[in-house]
Amino acid sequence: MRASERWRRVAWPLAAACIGIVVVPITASDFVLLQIVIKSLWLGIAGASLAFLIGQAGLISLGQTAIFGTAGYMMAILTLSYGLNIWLAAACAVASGPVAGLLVGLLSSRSSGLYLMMLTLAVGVFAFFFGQQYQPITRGHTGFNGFESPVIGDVDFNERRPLFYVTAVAAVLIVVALRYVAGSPAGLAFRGLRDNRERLAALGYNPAAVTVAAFAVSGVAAGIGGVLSVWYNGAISPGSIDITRIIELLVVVTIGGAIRIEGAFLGALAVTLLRNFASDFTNRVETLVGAAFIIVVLFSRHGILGLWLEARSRAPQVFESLRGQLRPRSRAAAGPPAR
Amino acid sequence: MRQRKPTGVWRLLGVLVTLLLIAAACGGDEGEDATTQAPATAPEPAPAPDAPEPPAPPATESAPADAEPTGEGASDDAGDDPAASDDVTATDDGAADATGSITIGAISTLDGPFAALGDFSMHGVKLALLEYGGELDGTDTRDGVSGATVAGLDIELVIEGSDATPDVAVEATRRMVEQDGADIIIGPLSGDEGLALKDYIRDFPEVTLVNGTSASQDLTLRDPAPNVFRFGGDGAMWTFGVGTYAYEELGYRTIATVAEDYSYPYDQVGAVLTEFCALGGTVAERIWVPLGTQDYSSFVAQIPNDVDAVFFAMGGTDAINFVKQYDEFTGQAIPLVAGPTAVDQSVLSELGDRAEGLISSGPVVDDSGLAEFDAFAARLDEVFPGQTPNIFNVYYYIATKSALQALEEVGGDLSDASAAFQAALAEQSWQTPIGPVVLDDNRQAVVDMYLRRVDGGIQKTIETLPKVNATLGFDRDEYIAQGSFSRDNPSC
Repeated sequence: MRASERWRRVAWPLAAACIGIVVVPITASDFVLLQIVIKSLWLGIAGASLAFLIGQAGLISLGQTAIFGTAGYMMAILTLSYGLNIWLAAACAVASGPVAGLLVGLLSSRSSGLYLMMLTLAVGVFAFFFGQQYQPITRGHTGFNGFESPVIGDVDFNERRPLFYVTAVAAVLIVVALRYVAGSPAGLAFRGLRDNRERLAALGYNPAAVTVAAFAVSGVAAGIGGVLSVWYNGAISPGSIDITRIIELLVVVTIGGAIRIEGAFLGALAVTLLRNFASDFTNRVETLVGAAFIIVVLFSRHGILGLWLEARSRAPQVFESLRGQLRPRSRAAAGPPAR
Repeated sequence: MRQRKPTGVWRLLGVLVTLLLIAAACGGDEGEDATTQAPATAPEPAPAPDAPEPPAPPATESAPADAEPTGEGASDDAGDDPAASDDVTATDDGAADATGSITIGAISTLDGPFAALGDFSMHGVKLALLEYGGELDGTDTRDGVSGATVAGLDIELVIEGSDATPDVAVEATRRMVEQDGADIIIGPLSGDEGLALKDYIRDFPEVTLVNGTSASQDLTLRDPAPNVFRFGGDGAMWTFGVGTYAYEELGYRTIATVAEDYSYPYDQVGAVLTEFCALGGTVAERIWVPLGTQDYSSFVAQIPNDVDAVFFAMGGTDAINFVKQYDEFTGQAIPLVAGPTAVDQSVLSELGDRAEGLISSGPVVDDSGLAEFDAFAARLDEVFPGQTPNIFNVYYYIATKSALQALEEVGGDLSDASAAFQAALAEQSWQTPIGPVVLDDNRQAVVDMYLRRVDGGIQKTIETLPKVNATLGFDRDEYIAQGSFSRDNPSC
């Protein structure tokens, strides 16, 4: 009973995702597929790592680009500098995500709130400057160009459709995995950290360890996002992880809504659409993105996702009250006009 | 209620997918262009051999035309010209033909640290289009130019901005090429963007990239792309002659260099040292500072006391900050020699009196006396009051004008993957505002440079260095074999 219900809950969104994966590449143009869909998917994956940290563990990290960048740079360095087999390199790069997450977590394990933000910001900026200046490894400001995605037989991942499948499947897996973690006892501990650090400690948990674990989990998503961004851009440079990208991730998560992992994808899609199509109507795209951000923050604490959830939870009441109001009103209309 | 909540959460995943679908559907309209664009280019090479010349297009063109649904893509282009000249009825799709319009996409750094330079570049683009009957749509940098025509075809201008990072530059260019159907791209501004765009544009042989001011050597020197053209110098060419002048005329024997730590300054320092060391000079110290450094004290402290001069290669605020702090620390004891953009006309006024007497090399001087230059300067001031020629507006102007001239020569024919147009572009040889230009086999310009000195707030010519080429006059194979300039290459 319980199992079947859970299955039902999982089945149809998964089916929808599958349909999406099948239909989108058929209907979308090459341009939309690459620059809107694939871009929002990998940006969403990176955003999901932050949405997970903020939404589940209450850790506002500005160091996600460091993790993202570590994985991305690993991908590029191992293949372009060391000529490693591309799949091996991809595996190493993906694995470097949680490791980097672990390190960032260790650094910030004893802090929270504003101090955590400052610490992680320092980590994020450090990663940028490391990329910019540690030239023997990172090739400095220019970074890595001309990265070629792998080819298996006839399937060339430099092509847009194969790349879409990889990114989409990765996105679905990330959402499933992060939701699984969130639903596990560990997820409970993360939310304990978010809601009340002291009480979590009183319950016998070690908040520092929980923080590190949360960062490590988020590192998986950030790492995969980093690797996919290199596949998408065919390049990585310090510009890919500079302070504007740190802010962009935060904007993506805030616009989308951090209460659920999926919010990051909504936010990524919204930002990507704005960046690409707003210029058709206005010369001030960045202003528009900023305005959208302010509006979302003002009107919905939980972003677009929050608007949707609120609308949905209120819909029955509204319907009922509408129904309730319509009847008395019609009665009132039919009744003798007072006054 | 409570039990249904999580169900709904999962629905969000579905909603996301639906949104993606909607996005896909929306894009589908414009996408028609993009999807047909790909096949349109693919079959082209096949029919090309039997029908190389445009006069016999019906056979080659009708196939894609039939395949094209009579939808948005078609009506868009036909809209301008419904009577569609009877020889060709196909739609314009990047692969282009003799009807409709030609789209030029201009990209520069309109956001981020170089935003001011982006404005200058767009002035240049617009000025060239105005010469072809265009009118400014507005005063904003992103406002286009409408009404320009070449060979009876309307020229549409699409303007996109980057923030000087390669990722953003590629996305912006992709938008112009695949979404707006741009046939020609003018830009970008910075070196690393140029390299990234070269990689991208290689996959679209029918689209032509005419570089703006990206000064990376390897845009054209090594592994060139057939559809990438540069009508200006690169970072090394812009610095040509300084090393020789410093050794022979100024009598310097030992210098130190201070430069920003990335590829463009490597080229400048590399060019100076290549000449300077070949004559017997030595470099005491090469100091690399991170881009955007505010505090130069630790770097200035590294400059040895016994050098004859310091060559500094920086741009914008970095140059201004450096010079200020250099003066404070050293009391101007050691003379400075400047890189081309450190004393470009775009920042010269901010250096004020301190710039007086600084020696540099570069493509733009204010007293060349060339009629073309004076006309350009007058026109620039007339259209954009208060603007004076600098490297950015001049280079973007030259790039745009070269493309328009080539378009005119081929009658706007962009068929056969722009083959005729690109051939004509490669043959462009004309008198630009900064001297004559011709292209070499890698589609890299051979141009005049000027050894110059700041005098009275403007750049005055010391000597004109005619026909500087990409290898600075050295043997081509040897020059290429020595590898890209880097922190410690050349090793002298």
